[in-house]
Amino acid sequence: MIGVFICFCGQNIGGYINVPELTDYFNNWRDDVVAFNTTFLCSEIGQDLIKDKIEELNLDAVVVASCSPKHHGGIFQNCIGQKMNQYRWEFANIREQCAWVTPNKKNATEKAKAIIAGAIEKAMLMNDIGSTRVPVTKDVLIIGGGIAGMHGSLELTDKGFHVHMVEKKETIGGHMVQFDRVFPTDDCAMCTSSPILAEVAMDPLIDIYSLSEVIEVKGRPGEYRVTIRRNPRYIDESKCTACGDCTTHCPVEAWSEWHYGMATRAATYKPLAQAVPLKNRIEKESCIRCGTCENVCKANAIMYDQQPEEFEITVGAIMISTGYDILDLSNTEYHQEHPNVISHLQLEAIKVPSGPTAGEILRPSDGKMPKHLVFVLCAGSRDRRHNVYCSKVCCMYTTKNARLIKSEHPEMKITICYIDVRAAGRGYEEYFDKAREMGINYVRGNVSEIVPNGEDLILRVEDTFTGEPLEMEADLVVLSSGMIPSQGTRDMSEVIHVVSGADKFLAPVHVKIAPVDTANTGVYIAGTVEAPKPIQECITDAGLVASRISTFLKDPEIEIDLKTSKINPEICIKCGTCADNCVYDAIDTTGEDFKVQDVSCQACGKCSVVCPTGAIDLQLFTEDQLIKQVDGILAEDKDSIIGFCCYQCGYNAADLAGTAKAFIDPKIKVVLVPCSGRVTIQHMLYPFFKGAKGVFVAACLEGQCHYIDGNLQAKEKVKLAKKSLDLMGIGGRKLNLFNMSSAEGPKFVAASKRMVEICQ
Amino acid sequence: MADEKFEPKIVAFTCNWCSYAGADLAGTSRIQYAPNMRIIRVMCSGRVEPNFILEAFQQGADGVCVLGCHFGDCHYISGNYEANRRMELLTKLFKHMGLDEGRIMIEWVSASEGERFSQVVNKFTEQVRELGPLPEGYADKIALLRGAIEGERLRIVLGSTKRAFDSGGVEEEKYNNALFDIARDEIDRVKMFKALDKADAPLTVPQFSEMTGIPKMTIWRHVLSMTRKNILEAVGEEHHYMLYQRRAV
Repeated sequence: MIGVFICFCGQNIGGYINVPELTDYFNNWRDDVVAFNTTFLCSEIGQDLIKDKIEELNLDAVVVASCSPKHHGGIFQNCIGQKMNQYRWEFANIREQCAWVTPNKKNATEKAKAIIAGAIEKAMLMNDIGSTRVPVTKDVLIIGGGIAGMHGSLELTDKGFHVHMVEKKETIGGHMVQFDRVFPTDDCAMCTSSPILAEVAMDPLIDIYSLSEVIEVKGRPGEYRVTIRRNPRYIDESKCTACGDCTTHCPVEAWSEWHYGMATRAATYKPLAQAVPLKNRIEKESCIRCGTCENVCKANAIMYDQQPEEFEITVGAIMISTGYDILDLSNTEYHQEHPNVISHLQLEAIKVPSGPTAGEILRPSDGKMPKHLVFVLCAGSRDRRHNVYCSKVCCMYTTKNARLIKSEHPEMKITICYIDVRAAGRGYEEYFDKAREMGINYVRGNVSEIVPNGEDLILRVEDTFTGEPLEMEADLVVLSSGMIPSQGTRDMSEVIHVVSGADKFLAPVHVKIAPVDTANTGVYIAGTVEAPKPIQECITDAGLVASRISTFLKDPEIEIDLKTSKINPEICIKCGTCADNCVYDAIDTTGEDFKVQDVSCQACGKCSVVCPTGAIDLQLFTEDQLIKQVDGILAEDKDSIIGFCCYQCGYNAADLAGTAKAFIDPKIKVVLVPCSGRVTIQHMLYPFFKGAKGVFVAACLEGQCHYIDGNLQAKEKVKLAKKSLDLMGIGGRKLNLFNMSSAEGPKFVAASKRMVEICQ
Repeated sequence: MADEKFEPKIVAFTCNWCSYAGADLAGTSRIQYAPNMRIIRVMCSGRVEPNFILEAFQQGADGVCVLGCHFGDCHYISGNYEANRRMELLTKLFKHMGLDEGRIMIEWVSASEGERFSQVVNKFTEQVRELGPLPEGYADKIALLRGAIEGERLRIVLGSTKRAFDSGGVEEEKYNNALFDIARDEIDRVKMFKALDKADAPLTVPQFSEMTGIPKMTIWRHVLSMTRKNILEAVGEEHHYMLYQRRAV
């Protein structure tokens, strides 16, 4: 017996749909279906009604016909879970996807019948879904030892976790330790960060792997097996005392990468006096193996023949804090290849007191102290040719550098060209105001071109206050170059399959309410790996990640609902196609029978689509459930156009169309799928055999699939199914794929309109 | 005077085991050869430092050659290879400084090649004679080169070639390029020191450039490196440029 509970939602549904008629209809629909209605199903009265009826009528499953499950799905699941298995229910979204998009009450009521009928058919096949417990490891991997990584590691060790920190460079510290001072306090960056460096170095619960990279991550949340490659330092860390004798005698001189080419270094060096680990390294590209360091090293630490070393560690959770780089604007309109056009990171390298000129601003072409220093804001930012996005911190660090230089050299003319100054933050506006009072010249105009003029430069700018085109001469130009994800950050989306945005920064699950969580359980992001941001936000992120990880790993075991995929060993032929298609490495092919590792499985269902025998299927959104739901809809209204909408984007967009009270033809009937990659060719063709007028798939934008490539797989399948439909004489044009983000309600409206036009 | 034939002074460093014996054989065999050659016996051609060659020029030689055993025959296994590598560098540096590279030569003469000894000597003498006496400015350039070659940095790299190649950890081309780059750097730096001595006052980058003819950007790189190594120090400022002087040791 199935109980259908229909909600008036006050006038929200009741005003557009004839709820009493609907209730009567389903009460007389079939013997095994009973229907009820109430004003607000989500209220305590509504919930009690559901609970009472489950008990009284011994219901097998429940259909909730109300708002989108994205609103109160949790409430109903919890309510039903008190009386029977919490998955023995199905919703019928008759508010956002019916009442609010269908102006005519009669039509809306008819559409609601089809939606509810589909839900009842699906609910008939609902099984109990259990849960399982898996053990977790209390070790944590932190990738990237910048300010976010360092802060996160200390927070985690304070909570008792053992941290493995992997750093690509020869020292941890990241960008912050390369800076002179930090805004808005003008604190010395090293003075504020070196205590953190020292604390990390001394913490017995932190293992630091410098010059190392994460090259593979396998396993499951709670028990990730991580392969780390340690690149050779060519110096034995256990012996080196960082005395510096090798550096003194090394005959090689090369441009220092750590100083972005603003200083020279020997082939053996340590990048900064406070390096962690405090060890020298030999940089192989510049080393000529003359053997001098070996001769002078009293500790016998030189190891020319050191090889890369790979080893595996097991961790329960991962924090990615691999940070940013900046755009290289050489050979662009900014002419960074000119020696006197430098980036702000190069300026910091010159400006640090421990730098090549002891903090004096001397330009790279000839060591001249500039008379007119020009800062170019938004260099490569907010610009379709480079980065479309704003790098957020440039206005402030540029103001900082201008202020610091002006206070040391009041006679120096300093100009800042800007589009607009974004000084939102504690003390920022005041900081900016002070800069103008100090006599720093702000010109509102985007620099269109920098023209080399011998050793000097000419900048072409339009002053947008006066409308006058300006030409100014400068003897040093500093570009506030846009930030981009570092190579390490880019690599992580390959190694750990964390979803990244179009800008290649790693994407959180939800930018507002889950800003450090990723789609991969147990993997978190902190700092500029996610987007450009100032140091304090990196620290906030890191603290939040530490909190999220300590929550995730608080118990020796974690509980997971088994709505995952499951393999039927009797028909599985062990071809491994599912495993090849699983980006989460969730299918264990090592045992006698292939098994799904429930903790890794993200329940996208791409595996069941590719299985040649149908041996693997999701336990929720099963093959049969989807087919039966389509049956139910078409039995009520065979003129329907079935839209398979993915949970992450397409379905949300359909809901948004409803919230906006847009018009959607009642022929359109949405069938929810976890991912567009879950939709098989059979799903695409089947509705046509039952009389449907059309079928479409609404998926995430390309490159933004929540499950990496589900929408790309759907695209291929739609192509094939279109061909089949052509051959059958039905017409491939009646099947389409639409890509839309979860925020693009209008795109869903347009897609619906298009389908109705095509399928007349 | 113009008609008088120029007779160059030639210094030859000959190794004890092969070429010196080859010269003896030429004598015992009564083979005649040009009288311009003054022979200095060394135990091995690998003993000859570039400095010796430069010293010879400074003492009035018009041409200097090194004669050693043929490859594979060195009594000390690889001395002639070392000698050859140094001569290659010296040849490159002669070219770089605008000196006639024809005034230096390395050749191989075995103990049994009396005839060959005389041919090599005659040919080299003729070659130097054609080049004529050392032109104006030669002495200064040789002195510059000597200053660079006597510095620790170049001596280290020059002295480590065998070790570097034997380690198998570096390609010969990379090493030789580094050697040449370092030599050029060191020549520049000797020029800069000379400029400081001449001015007897600290100098700015443009002043260094003006006095040495080295581009300002190159000077700036030298300044960055030499201040890092505590060879130079900034002592003041003049017209937007820092003034640099040698740091007292």
